[in-house]
Amino acid sequence: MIAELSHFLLILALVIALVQAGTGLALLRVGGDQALAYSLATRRAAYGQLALVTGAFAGLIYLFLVSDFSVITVVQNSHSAKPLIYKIAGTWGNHEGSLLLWVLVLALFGAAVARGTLDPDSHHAKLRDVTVAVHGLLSVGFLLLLIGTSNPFGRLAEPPIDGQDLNPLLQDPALALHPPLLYLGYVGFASTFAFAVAGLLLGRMDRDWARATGRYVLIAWAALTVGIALGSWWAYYELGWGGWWFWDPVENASLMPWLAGTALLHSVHVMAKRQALASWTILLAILTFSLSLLGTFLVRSGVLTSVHAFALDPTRGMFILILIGVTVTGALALYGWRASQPGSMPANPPFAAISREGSLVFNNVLLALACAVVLLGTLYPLALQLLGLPPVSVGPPYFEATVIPLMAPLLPVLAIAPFLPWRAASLSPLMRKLRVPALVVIILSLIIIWPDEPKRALASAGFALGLWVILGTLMQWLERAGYRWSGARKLPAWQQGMTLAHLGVGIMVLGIAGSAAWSSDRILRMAPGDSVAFAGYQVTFKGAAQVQGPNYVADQGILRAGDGDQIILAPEKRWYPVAQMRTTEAAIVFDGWGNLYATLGQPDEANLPLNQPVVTNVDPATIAWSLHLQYHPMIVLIWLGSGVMALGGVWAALDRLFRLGHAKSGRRPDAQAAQPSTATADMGAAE
Amino acid sequence: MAWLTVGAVMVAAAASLAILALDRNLTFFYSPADFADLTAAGEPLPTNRPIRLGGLVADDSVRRDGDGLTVHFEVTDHGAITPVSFTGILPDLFREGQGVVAIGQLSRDGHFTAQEILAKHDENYMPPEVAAALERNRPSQDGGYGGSGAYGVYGADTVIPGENP
Amino acid sequence: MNHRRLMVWLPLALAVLLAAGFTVALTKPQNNLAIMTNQAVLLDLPIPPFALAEAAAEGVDGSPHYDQIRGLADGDLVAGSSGLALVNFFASWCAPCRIEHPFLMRLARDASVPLYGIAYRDTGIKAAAYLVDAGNPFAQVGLDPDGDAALGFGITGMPETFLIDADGRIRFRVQGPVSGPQFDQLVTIIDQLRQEAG
Repeated sequence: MIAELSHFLLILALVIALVQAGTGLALLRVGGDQALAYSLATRRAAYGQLALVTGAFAGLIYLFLVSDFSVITVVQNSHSAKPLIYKIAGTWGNHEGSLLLWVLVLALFGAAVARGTLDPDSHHAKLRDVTVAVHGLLSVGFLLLLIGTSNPFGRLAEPPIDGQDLNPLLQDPALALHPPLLYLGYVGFASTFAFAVAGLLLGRMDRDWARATGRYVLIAWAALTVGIALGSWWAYYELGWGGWWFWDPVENASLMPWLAGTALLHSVHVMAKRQALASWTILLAILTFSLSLLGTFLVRSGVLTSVHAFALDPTRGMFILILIGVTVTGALALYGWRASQPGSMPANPPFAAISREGSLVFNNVLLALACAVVLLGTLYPLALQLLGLPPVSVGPPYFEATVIPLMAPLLPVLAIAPFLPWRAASLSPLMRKLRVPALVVIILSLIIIWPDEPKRALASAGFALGLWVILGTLMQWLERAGYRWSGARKLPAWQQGMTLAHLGVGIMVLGIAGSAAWSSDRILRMAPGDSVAFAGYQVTFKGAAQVQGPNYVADQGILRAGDGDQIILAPEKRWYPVAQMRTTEAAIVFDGWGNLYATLGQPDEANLPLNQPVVTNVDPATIAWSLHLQYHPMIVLIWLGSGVMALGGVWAALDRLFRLGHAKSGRRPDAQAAQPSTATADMGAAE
Repeated sequence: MAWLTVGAVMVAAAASLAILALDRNLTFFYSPADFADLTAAGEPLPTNRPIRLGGLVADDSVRRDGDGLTVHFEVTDHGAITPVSFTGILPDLFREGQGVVAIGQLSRDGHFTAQEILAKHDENYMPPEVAAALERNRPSQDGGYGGSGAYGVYGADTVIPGENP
Repeated sequence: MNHRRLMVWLPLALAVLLAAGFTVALTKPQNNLAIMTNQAVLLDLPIPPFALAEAAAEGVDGSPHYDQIRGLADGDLVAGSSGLALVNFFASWCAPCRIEHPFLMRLARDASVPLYGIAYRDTGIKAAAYLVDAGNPFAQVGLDPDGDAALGFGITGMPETFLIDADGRIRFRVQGPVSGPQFDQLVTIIDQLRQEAG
């Protein structure tokens, strides 16, 4: 009953989305009173669509909560013995459900764009309504995909007594939140895409366009940042390997839109402030969403070799491909048509190489190149396979050798760029100002991080860069604030956000470099009672015992470390009987400086076969185990930095600059941005 | 024009960086039968760079050294066999009769030393290269290329990052 | 400004190129997607030898349903020699198996081809209960707890169904549930093979 009702709500949502697209696009032709009615219809359709899809999604959650095993999606991804939160998370832990979530977030952003009272005759309102219409078109496509090929509400004729479990590796709080946040990011870029298409249709790609778009870029970017960070954190503690980034196709798929989105949020800023880089920004908005689509759909369609490919039905894969193909090529064709018309894009106000614009162009070029290089590495094996060449794989060494050299030059500039005035700048006053942080960084580098081993030299350089970014950003913020608390409080939201986000970058770089430079790693065999000196600790293995979890049994090892053995590490090997799966649970203890990280390997018992479900029928006190001990100093800074970056993004999104029909951001009104500013490094004048 | 030149130089630099890195870091995939073919044809084995070896872990071939850390096993594709040794912790899904991908170095005598053993999140999943290699080398008589994939039924969700290295 | 005019079409050209590549990748048989539907694998090869246990061999007494699973060996499939035979891999834990189950029941009723079942990685108790619960379309069922027979048949996922001729050769293979179009296709091929045999 609930399943059929929810299915019906989805079909209604499809109809409403058609109305939303139709009435909105009609606004390109009609005007006057009629336009007012069309505009209202479009916006109300967006709200209606949100309500309907929310209803359907609530229906699916309900079906998972009551474990209705007559529904195929529930059977395949849930089990009555599963903890409540994972029953809910199971809703989006599968293809059909995650697609429904995608559609829900899309409707949410559509409704968000639709809200707000603007003068109905203004072109702000027109841009908004046409954007809502493009949102409607996207919803039509994805609802068709959902209803046509991936109905989450399909029934089984012969319902089983119980379901299959969700993959136990996915039963994890971080991972329950990871997909919704990633989708918030991916789909947020659907809004920027819709703005870009609407701007192209209307032929208005000015600073107002950038102001209308900016908030969505920032929100999407912040959500994607947190989503990726959560995924990385999950991989760190759940896979038991101790790494935080593996350059897996699925990870790359989320990194590419992030890189493009980072470039976009900087170029939108230039466009909103200076009306420069319009053509590039529009293109970037289209590409960022295209990469998001590539990320969510092509990876899972089975085209790319990945563990996660689950849309194995070729019809479904083809449908997805056609949907993405039409969306992307349609938008790019529109772009080509509009951009090739002379005078369609606002002329770029001239600027010098050393200027705020110049530094942001540098940022954009490097980010775009890094993105292209990741795309190349991800698609290269596929291309070779298509040419009938022997299978190859492109591993982490490729990505490290290309992405790091492309990203590293951004860091020194990142600390300087916010000091630079628009149009043209001179470096000498800047050098004077940054003498102190530079000196501090150099001295600190020499004292703390002097590379005692050649392999650490690179990491030490990274560490110095991280410090430089943090100090430079703080200097810049203090300078803007006039070294006064009252001044700091008056800074506009986008500047506060930028400062925070750049600090986040610095913190993250410290984490990456620090954990790379000083981590320890040891694989060893330990019998109960054995003790070993590791990373400044005396680690003692107390033996392993069998423990019972809610839906698993586990062998749990106990390790003690530290003075008086006060640190207890309890790594586990779990066996999930329903899913017939074995997992490794790492034990991680943060000691204030780094993470002590232990994983259980195999029991050293000749009679026991490798990796059998339940191992210890023998007295656990006598069995030796292979153990993997790791120490990762400062690694938490990677996730902390990501969080700070995302927070900065959200803060910046609150700026009034992004509210159309309202006064501009900052202490001063509009005028000075168009005026030539003097080439001093004075922050007030530069702003 | 100056902007274009600078841009072109940066693009060219990035492109050459990428091509160089690709050239150096591509790992080719082999199955035990490939080694047998190379030896039969009198061609040298790929001993000079890291490669990926894939196949099934042969039944009753796994044994461990006294140190409790070094494991020896054989990888087979129904015909040829390559002995492999690995020191470290095996992934959870490593099992006799299951598909496996090992990354490491081949010695001249045909012994493979693995630095890394890959297993996937899902025990019903077979790495596609392994499935393809087994299919290529499928025996004509006793049938079967083994292993199991999934029809997206008991598959893992796509949203998780990281193939467990 | 001419080169600029051309430049704005460059992204579209690249996107079209990529889309074409993906289309080829998705439709090309070497792709892992297509391995799933690749009929060529094992076709016309003799079935692998196997001998599967009956449920009671598990040694747990007391289930009245054990007579559902009386074991199966390769010889059983050929010995029938009424012409054709179908072998279906199923399991009580497999959801798509439930989707195809009504179709198997229909096959058992109409097609007059004996249908044999292999319970893949399942226990006797669960598989037997499943057959009692959902109906048993199989002439004979064997347990394959370790997937040995499945390995021989080259099972890539669950469920799978094989059509075997009088010589014990595999003539057709359905990967995934036998339902809808797959069902119709299977029935058509059975009819064809019947006519060939006269």
